[in-house]
Amino acid sequence: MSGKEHNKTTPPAKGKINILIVDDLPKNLLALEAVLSDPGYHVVRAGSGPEALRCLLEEDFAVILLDVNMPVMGGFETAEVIRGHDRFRHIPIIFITGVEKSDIQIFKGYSIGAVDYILQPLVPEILKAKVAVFAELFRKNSKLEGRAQKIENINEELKAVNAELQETKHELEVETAERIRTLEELGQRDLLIHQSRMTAMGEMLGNIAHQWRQPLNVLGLQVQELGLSYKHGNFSKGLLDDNIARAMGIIQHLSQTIDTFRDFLISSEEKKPFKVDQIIAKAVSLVEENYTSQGIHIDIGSTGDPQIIGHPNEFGQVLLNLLRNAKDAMLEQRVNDACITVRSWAENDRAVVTITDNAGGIKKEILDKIFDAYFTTKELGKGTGVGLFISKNIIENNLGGRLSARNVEGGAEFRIEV
Amino acid sequence: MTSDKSRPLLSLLIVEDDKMALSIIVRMVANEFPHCTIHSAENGIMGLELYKELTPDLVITDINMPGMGGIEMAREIRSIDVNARFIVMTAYSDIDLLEKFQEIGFCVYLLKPLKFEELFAAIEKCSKR
Repeated sequence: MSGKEHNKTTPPAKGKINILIVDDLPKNLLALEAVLSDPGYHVVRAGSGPEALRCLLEEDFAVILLDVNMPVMGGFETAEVIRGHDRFRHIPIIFITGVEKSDIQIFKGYSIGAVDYILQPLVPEILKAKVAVFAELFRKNSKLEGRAQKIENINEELKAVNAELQETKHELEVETAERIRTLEELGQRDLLIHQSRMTAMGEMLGNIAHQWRQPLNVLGLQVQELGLSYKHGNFSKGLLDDNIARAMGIIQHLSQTIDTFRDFLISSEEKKPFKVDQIIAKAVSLVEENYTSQGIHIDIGSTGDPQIIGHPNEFGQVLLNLLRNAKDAMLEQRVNDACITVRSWAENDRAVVTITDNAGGIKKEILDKIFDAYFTTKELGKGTGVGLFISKNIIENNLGGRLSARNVEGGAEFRIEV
Repeated sequence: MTSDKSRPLLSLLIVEDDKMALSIIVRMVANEFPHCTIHSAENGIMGLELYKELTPDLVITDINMPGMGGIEMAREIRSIDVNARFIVMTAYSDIDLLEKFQEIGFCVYLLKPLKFEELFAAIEKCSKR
């Protein structure tokens, strides 16, 4: 039975109760064994104190019957060793002796911790009865310990389950928090992109308003001129034809303007090769009127007729974003002689466009943040912080190019390379 | 609306950067007020020079013009003539600029697209001393 855990009480094999008998005389052992022969007992023999200790290490015993007179290690000595051991301290010891019958010896036996002191010759019935008491005690203790162990085991299991639940709960909490954050970010992102589109639309409307302001005024004046001339008597066919021709010219111009705007706002179309300079000219024509009225000049220059394959309108959208960015910077800095310089050229099969302002440049601390989503230096409500983010996305993800920014003399330069 | 011969002679300065609009306005105002002397300018700088030179009774001006705009011009004119009178023509998109013009002071403001009836009525109103 070696290899059992020593720190626990082991129930005897097949429900039997272990009883240890220790005596140096085999005949005495035999006699004890005979007296204690019982299907409920498992009697273990030990011929010496040391052997008894070995047996104790291997099995749990209900009671020890210990001979007092043994060579090498006497009964008292053996008992002291047993008593000194935490695990064995509580095993009842019954001394048996045929020699040490004095009261002093008996007293010594009890003082060592014996539960009984039996003198030879043995009365088998008495010995049986005494052993039976301890056997019963052991059985009850074992049951209790078993129950305690079970409860302990259940408790341990519950603890483990609880720990698992705690862990799962924590994981769920982390996951939930993450999901909420993702949802929030997605929602916020959608909202910002929507806001950015609305801003772009609003800006477009502003541009249309500026472009239409003068032509509409002139158109109105021409129509009124016909009526007034008639009233004053200087109406003529020449005046009529002249005004109709001019009015139609203006109407044509207005019509083209909204077509251009509409073309720019329509997003999905097939990828195709397009001339960069054409898109630049279109984008600039959309905003020029508006920017000029705010004192901002736009200077365009190009060489090499660069071309790109992709969605022209997406590219146009980026140009409008960069132009607006430059304009806002210059209005914010109240720049005199504000000028946006747009340059385009072909370089090693690549199209390069730079848009440069003279608003003093981008602060060093934020130069690496300007393309981040939601990053804006504009006042609350003026910038959504997605214009440059979306522009970079379009150029790098949709067109496979690069959009970068750096400071040059007097201002900031945005460089598109596709 | 034919002119009243008994009315004192009125001189007008019209400032507008759109040449076609300017020429029609000048023609129509001349038709309507044949006894008026009409001067025209295509921008604020020209307008200011003409004002200094001729001191017209009434200035009809656009606000948004390249170079010197209507507001800057009017501010200069006001600084040399506290009695200068202005009729302001402006587009709705520039209506916030009108506040600045209010500090300088004007007689009437008209929204573009311009209606001649309103312009003529404004000239009538502002020419009464």
